[in-house]
Amino acid sequence: MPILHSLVIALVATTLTFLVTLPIVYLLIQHPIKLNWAIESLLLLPLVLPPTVVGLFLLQLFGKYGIMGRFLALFNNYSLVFTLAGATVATIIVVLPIMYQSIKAAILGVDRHLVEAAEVIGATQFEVLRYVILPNAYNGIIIGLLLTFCRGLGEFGASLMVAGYIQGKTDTIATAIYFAIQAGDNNTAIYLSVVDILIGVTALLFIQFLNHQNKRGSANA
Amino acid sequence: MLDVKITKKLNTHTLTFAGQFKQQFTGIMGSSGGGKTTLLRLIAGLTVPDSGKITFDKTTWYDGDHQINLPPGQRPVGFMFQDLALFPNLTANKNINFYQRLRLYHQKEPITPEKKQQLLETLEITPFLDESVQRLSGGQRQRVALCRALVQQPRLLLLDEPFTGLDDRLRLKTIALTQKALAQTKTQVIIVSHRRDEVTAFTDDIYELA
Repeated sequence: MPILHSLVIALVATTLTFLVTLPIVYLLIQHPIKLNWAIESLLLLPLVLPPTVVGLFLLQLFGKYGIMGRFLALFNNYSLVFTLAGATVATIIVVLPIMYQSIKAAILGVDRHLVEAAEVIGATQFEVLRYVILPNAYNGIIIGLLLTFCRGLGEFGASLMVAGYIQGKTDTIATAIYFAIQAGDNNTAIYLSVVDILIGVTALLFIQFLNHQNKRGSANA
Repeated sequence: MLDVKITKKLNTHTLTFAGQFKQQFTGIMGSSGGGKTTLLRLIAGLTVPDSGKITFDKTTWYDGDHQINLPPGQRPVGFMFQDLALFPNLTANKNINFYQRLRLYHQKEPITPEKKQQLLETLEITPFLDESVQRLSGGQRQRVALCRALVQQPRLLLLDEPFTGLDDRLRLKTIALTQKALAQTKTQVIIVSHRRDEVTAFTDDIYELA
């Protein structure tokens, strides 16, 4: 169960973060505003904070007396605390800086003249993104998605603060390893660690492969 | 007729240009950093002038005083970048078609298939039409970029150092093919180069930038 929970959380968090981050990064690059530095600092903030601080902030926000907590309670007394959805929200906040940096680097890596070549023929912002940016930033974006996914898979502090550790309900690979060790169940901890390592190594090998492809593509261009 | 009267502050100096482009071919020459590429970018709308006015056939593209600035896509301009800016993930054919497809949104009279085929044959692109542009030689890439610009049937074609990076033999061949292709159109052409022979191959009407 913890493996499935971790995979679901990492997958959903990666997908949602990508969908939110891509348009933000693209618009900030295409139409820089004076407050770019402030928006960027806000998006990168979770990177410099301990995950427990992020967790605490989310608890304040989504807890029983938090603004979002009270709002969600209006819908059939729903609460994010102690749920997988809560762990997913915590993971989204923690992985946001990784996704932001990866997508930004990938988009900035696309030759500016390619974008201008499309603009000259009247391509809209969406068409530039769809037909020029995404195909040419493809490998960089995939690398960003994998890094984000791996970070999401290993998320511990913030998720634990928000979702806690309820066996069969909110347990993830990272929290299950911690509580298995606490309970003296080394076998479970090692088994889960090996699974996590295998997923991580597979992702890293794929990232190396894509990096190699990128270098070959640049050399041929 | 293109009428340009603009100023633009650059890193090292202020570019001031006033000129009328009446002939089908006009050359712009000058030393590196003199503002040749910037002038083309200003005409295309990719860079905004600090002040002045740009009109083409009585249509105002830019007017600093009246805050008029037509976006690049609304100017009937074809731009061939110095680095060609071909989409590396596409074949020669797809580069040309992609450009043509997007341009169709704004074109009242898209190029006919016959004309397009004639252009492909004139520029001798047909044999490598389905090759990835990353596998093409410098001269082949140059011709694909020119074809891509011409299938839009622009009324004004801006060529930025179009023969840079080609050896002498290939340069002469590419210039000859370019002349042949442009002779089939009524498109007005501005060619920028730091080499006099490349410009005089097309025109003696030359502006020199300081």
